[in-house]
Amino acid sequence: MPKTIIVIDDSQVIREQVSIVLKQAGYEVVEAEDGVEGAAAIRNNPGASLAICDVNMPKLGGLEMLETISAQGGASSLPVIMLTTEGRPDLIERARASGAKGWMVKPFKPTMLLATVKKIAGAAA
Amino acid sequence: MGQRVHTFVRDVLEASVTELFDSYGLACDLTQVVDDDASPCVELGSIVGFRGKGVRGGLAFVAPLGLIERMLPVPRDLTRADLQLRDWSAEMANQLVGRMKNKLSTKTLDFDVGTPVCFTGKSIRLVFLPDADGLSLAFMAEGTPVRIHLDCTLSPDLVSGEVESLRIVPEGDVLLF
Repeated sequence: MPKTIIVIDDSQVIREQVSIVLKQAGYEVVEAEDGVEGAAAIRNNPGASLAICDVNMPKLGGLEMLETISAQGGASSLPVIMLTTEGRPDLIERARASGAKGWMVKPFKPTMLLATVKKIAGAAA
Repeated sequence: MGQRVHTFVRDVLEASVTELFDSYGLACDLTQVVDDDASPCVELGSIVGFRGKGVRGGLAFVAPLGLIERMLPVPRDLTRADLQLRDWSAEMANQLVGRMKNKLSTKTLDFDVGTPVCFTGKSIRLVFLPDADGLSLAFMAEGTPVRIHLDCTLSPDLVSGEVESLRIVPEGDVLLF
C-alpha cells in the first residue's frame, strides 16, 4: 500500500508541483490549503507518513499549526518538513522546537524534494 | 527611484528578481528605472505587503499573462486557467519578497510578509503615495517586460545604525533536524 504524504500550501500550483513529484514516485497525496485544513488533514489521516508544510499561509500559518498541534497533546508522531520562502534561523528554530524534521527553502528542486521525502518517510511502498 | 530608498535595498531587489527568474530557467535583466510606466497588453500583478522591525512597505510584481504561463512549473490546466495563473503570479510575488527578506534580514531589519493580492488589466499604472519611498524597476525576461514596484520605508535608526547579518538558509537548500 502506498505511503501517504500531506501537502499543505496556500498556492495551488505549489501543491500541484509537489504532488506531481510525489505521485510519480508512487506516493499518495492529500492536499490542504492552509494551517486549519492542514491540522484537520493530519488528524484525519493518522496513517500518513509525512507532511510537507508552508510557513506563511492565510487563516493559520505553518509554524502556528505545528505549535497548536504540539500544545494540544504533544508533538504529533507525523514527521513534518517545512517548505517555504523563509530562511531565517529563528523561524527554523521555532519549527525544530515544535517537532519539525526539516526545512526546505523555495524554489525547490524536485530531485532534492524527493530525496528528502525518501530519507524521512522511506520509499513510497 | 525614490530618493530615500536605500541603494542596498535597490541592489537586493534587482538581484532577487534576476535570481528568481533564473531559478525558473529564464534570463531576466534590468532595463531601466522608471517613475511610472504602463503596458498596453493584458497583465497580471500581485502585491505583497510587509511590515516589521525597521521596515514596512509592499511589493508589486507585474507581468504579461504569457510570461506567467511560461514560468508555470506544472502543466497548464485550461479548465481553471485564470485561477492557475493568478495563483502563480501571487507565488512569484511571494517568492520575490521572500528572497529579498532573506537577503535583507539582519538583527536590526526584520519583517513579516503578508499574503498576496492579485489584479489584472490593460495599461496598468501603479503610483506611489506622495510620501512613499517608491522604486519602480523594469526588467526584460527573454523579450517580455516585467515591472517590479517597491514601496519600502526604512526606520531612521536603521539608516544610521550598524547591521549584523544573520545566517540565512539559501533558496533551494534543505536542512534536516
